[in-house]
Amino acid sequence: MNKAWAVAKVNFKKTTWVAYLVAAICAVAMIADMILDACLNNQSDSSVSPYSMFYLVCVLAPILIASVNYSKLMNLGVKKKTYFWGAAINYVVFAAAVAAIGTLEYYIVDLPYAQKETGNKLLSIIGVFGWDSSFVSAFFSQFAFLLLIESVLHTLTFMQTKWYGWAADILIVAVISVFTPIAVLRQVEAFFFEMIIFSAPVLQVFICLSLAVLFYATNLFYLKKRI
Amino acid sequence: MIEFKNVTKSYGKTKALCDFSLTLAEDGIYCLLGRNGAGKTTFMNLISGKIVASAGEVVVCGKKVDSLNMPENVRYIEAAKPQFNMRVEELLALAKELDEKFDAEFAEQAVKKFRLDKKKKYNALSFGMKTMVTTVLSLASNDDIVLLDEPVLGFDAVMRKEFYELLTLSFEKHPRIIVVSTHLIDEIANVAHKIVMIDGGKLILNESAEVIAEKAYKISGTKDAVDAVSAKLNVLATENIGKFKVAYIYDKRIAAFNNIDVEDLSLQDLFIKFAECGGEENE
Repeated sequence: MNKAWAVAKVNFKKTTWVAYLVAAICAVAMIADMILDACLNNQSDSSVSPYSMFYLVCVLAPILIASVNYSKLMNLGVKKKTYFWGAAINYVVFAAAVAAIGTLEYYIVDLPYAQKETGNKLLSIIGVFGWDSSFVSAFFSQFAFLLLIESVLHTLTFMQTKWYGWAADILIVAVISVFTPIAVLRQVEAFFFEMIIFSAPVLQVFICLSLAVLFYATNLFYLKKRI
Repeated sequence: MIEFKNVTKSYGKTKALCDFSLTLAEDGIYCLLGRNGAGKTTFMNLISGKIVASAGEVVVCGKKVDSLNMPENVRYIEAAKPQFNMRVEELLALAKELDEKFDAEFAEQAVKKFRLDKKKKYNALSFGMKTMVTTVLSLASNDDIVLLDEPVLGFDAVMRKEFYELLTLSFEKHPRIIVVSTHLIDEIANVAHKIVMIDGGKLILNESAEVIAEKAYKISGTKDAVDAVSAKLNVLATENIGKFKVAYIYDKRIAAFNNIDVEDLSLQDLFIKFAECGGEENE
């Protein structure tokens, strides 16, 4: 566990700073947009809640950890299973941190801002996805959803060095492009997204966490194959 | 201890190692020799668990090597692979952070010996310097098995001398199995305890440096005399020069006499002769 934590610490510092930087720049841009709207008294304008930009950390970090950090850590003598658990720690911490920031901002900033009735709309992921039934629900729904995103992105990125990675990409594109225009299949697609986003909080958290664990566990197979 | 039991490793239709069996039981500096594509890197990857055998098994310290549960006591850092672009001192500190057994004191000593600039970032180092860093990272690990793939690549003559001294020092400080793959055969021969030669994915020689020095020689003289003397010896190759003949022998040493000269065969020449004859021993 100590070794996995050491790997996680490296992953927190190395390469992933790109993800923090991108998220921070986007968040600052969003805040600047909100301030400008307020100063210029722009009515009926809508902004995206700045915390949403921190979701980018959970999108970019898995790609960087799987594509850049893996080979460099291996070349520092890290063992594959240590890397596996180390990255898992990263994703849990990233998801928890972003969910905590999002929940705090939603309840401390976004809700009071919306109640001021400035005429401006503040689009918040928690509000849009209906995760706002309670403080706890907002945190766990985001956490589970982000963990699923990280798990899927890590797995897909990690597979890319092998033929089945490309096959998975083609399959995803094919499923989306075939399922979307056909009504019956579109319902299946909609059902999937409903389950991972819009279902009852406990069920949504359970489904997202189960899928996240399932996806991440498949990495044990790919790890065996990757040098 | 490292054991290869009838190991075959295939990449598609190509067999990098073919029914390969070998045991490295004692601590020592093992020199791994082989031509390009002979299977040296595959050999090292299999020990480290980065890849697994297609058939047969590799056993390290009594445990079958599994790609997922890589052996904890094996250190294999490839010089050609990328590192985090940070200062050399930070990279060494990171190695210590990732491995409690990492010998920071030895690493410091090695950095001084190689005159490495600790403040320089890894990507700013020359090719030889990068190899040095990876070599230091490997030797400073206190793992029971250290694998060095082309550790002197890009080194100048002085640096290579320093490396061989460091290798010996590292072994004296912490006796263990150190496998060094290199093409600079005669240089490594001075420090290696055992020589392992691979060709075409097969083991062609696994012998101590002393035994090789004793058994590898060449005899020269008139054609008839050489033929007569070498008839019962293991002749690796022969060369005809007019009426004279040279026979390259790997067998029990014979003494020189009247019309026959006996000369030592360098490890490099022995390797070339073995490679030329594909490891086939002529009885």
